Amino acid sequence: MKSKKNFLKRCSKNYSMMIGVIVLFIILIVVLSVPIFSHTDPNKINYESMLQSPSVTHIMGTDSFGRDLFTRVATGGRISIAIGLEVMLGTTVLGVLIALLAGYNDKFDMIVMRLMDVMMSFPSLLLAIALTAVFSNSIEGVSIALTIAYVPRTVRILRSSILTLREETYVEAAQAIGVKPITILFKHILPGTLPVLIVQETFLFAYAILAEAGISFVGVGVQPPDASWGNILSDATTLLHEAPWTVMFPGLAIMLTVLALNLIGDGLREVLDPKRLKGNAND
Amino acid sequence: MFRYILKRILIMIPTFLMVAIVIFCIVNIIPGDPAAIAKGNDSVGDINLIRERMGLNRSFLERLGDWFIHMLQGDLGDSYFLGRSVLDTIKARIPVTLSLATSSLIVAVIVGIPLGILAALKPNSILDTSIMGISLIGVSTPEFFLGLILMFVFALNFKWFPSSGYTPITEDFVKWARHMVLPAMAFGLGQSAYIARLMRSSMLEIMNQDYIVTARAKGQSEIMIVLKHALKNAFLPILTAIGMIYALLLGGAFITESLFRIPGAGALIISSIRKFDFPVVQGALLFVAAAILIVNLVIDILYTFVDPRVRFETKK
Repeated sequence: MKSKKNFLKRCSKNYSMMIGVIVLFIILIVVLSVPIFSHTDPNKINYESMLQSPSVTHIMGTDSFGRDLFTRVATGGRISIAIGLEVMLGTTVLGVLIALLAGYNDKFDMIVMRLMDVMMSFPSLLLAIALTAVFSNSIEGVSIALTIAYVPRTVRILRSSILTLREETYVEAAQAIGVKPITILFKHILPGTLPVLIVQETFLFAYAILAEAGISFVGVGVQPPDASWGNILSDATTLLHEAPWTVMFPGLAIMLTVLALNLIGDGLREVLDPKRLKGNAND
Repeated sequence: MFRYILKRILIMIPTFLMVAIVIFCIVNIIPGDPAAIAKGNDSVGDINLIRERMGLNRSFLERLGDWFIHMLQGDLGDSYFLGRSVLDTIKARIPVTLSLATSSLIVAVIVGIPLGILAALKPNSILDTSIMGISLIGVSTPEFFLGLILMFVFALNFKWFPSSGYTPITEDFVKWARHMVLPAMAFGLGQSAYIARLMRSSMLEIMNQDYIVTARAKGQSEIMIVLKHALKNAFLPILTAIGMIYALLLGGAFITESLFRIPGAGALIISSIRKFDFPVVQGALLFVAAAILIVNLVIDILYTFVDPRVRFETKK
């Protein structure tokens, strides 16, 4: 309890992290509420209001089909952020399982780490593109592809953290009194990896949003009519000269979200720094 | 030293072969029938005949074995649709991607390193905070968004540079450079932000070392300390980062290529995936993966030159 309070206190004192939290919170509110409360259909084509610049009725203007850009960016944000979240959760679950099993069994460790090395020697974005082609370029397909492409990073970081923790005296003590290895892994080692895991996954959330935008931008990710930030921006490239706002708003949405996540990640890294936590590791 | 390099090369071979197998497996489980697409262009053709011609009627393992053996002999097969060998198709594209990735890396290094050093000289000053603030924005901006902004400002409004296209460096250097400025900036600036952040933290760590304090106590000027003592050691972690960034640039070039309509290997992979031209996808992916493995190898070897500790460690 005490450590939780300490953690929150340290977080609230980290101003750049707080800015990140507030920005992300605002983006989430907009992205979640606009599609519910807005009466404008994000896919409704209206040729009478084509390419209107930002105004009171269309605060982000309209695109070449006369669709309201604000509702489209908000709806697209749902998909982009959902993919980011799914990838974050997917890599966490898979990463923890693989890394713990690798920490438990040396043979499994050798095989898995070789495979991870092979996957890491391959550019993750290209891997994600090839996998998106395998799993279909639906929202789920993109999430699965990105999860597989990014899981080696989580496994590697967790594994090295587990290897260090395995040498700690409290783990040796647990082994000495005959606690089952699986219990040691889940009860004694896993909690120790949490600071590393939390920071890594915050950054991975940001990477995943960037990656989804990138592969949807080149047209192999999320497909229309589903709007994601990447494909809204991709649609807008040809309008750069006549309607620059169609590029600015989705681009800014990606940038701000990723910036907020990076601020939070940097802040969490400072707050959860093991050197600072060492003093109260047991409370 | 020689033994270390040899060992490093020998480790690379099985990794490359495994990467090749993984590539073949992934590409060949992509659902989609290239024969059906080929038949679309050939109204009288029999789909089974086309499949046979493409070698698609054989089992997965047979095809894998066949491709693998041919690959080892330097033959990557023929494109399904381009009427040329995969090798010829890729040969034209690889230099383009290399020139984009290299120019972007140059931008990243010449912008990132000085900024990182400047920020580290006066930690927590206004200069440091603003450099770090800007670089955080840089890290968070997708290259295609930055590319679009640069295109809007410098190509469409000022008309200083062409907004898209590519001229080979061998054909006309000036034209090549003019085509390369915006893509290299779009792609490189984000990475320079990353280098700046890393350079700063590496410099800060070095600047607190005892030998720097001693140099200061001896009355050496701050500039001399940075140039003579700090820089060389602070540069070590950056070298690894540069290698990683180059690999990232090679593997991520397809987005910038697609935005600026540069006919590189990345753009080839995207268009071939859409057409299910599997031999080309496999070949191009293999080339990119090989380029990345070579970059990592070169960085590791360079490391033994700059950091003698690596040499001693391998002797143990």
